[in-house]
Amino acid sequence: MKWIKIACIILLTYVTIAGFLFDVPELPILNEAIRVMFFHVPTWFTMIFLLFISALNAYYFISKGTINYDLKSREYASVGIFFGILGIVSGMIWAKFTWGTYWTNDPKLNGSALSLLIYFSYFVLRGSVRDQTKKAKISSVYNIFAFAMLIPLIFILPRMTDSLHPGNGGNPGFNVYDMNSQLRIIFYPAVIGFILLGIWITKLRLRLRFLNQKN
Amino acid sequence: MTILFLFLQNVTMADTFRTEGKIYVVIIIFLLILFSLFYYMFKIEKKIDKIERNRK
Repeated sequence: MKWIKIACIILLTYVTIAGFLFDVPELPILNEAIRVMFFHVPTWFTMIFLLFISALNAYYFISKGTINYDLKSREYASVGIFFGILGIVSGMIWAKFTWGTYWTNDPKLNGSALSLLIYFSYFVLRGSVRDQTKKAKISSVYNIFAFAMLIPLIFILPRMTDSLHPGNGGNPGFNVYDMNSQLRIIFYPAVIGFILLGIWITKLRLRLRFLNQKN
Repeated sequence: MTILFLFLQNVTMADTFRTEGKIYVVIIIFLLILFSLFYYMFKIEKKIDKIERNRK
């Protein structure tokens, strides 16, 4: 647990300094806004990672029946969605200054908005069932389906059509044209740093949740 | 006259800090926010530690 915090602080400090100062490729339209990539993309990676752990815990709950797995699943999902909202809002601001509009009906954008909506209804579903075991069972099943929907909505469907968003429209996410080594040395630490931050926040929320549970 | 003279001469300040489009200022502000956030999280963690110890 301790190494998570230390690594998170070191990585995010490095990413902040390097992300603003290091040389980046000079591209038209993007200009310095290319640096947004160090912060916008990791929020999505963090969301995917946390939602994957959430779905994993939902599966553990179904197979083992311990209520703690369900609580874990819930907290990982809520922090994951928090990062997802950060990702979509930062993406909108970035889009305004590069594509000229906050929102276009791009398959990647609509897919990510849809997947967020699917997870919003996960929390609505949880709120609507009183009995704890019943709530855990229903929402665990829903959680696994929600994650199964996330993959085609974010990764597969946008690649099958043309898309404004980089890394889509037939080509794999990180090919030589999208990223060079200048970007990678900041981008990968950023991804790890934000994922560790997400885990850290979730652990805090979980401890509070377990304290409430014992009451 | 003296006032005009004061305006005309080059006053040396910590100029290097403000060159390059003031990007260093942005970094300092961002680091301040980041470290305040970390500090805040450690504070919350301490509070939870305390409650957990009291429960046992």
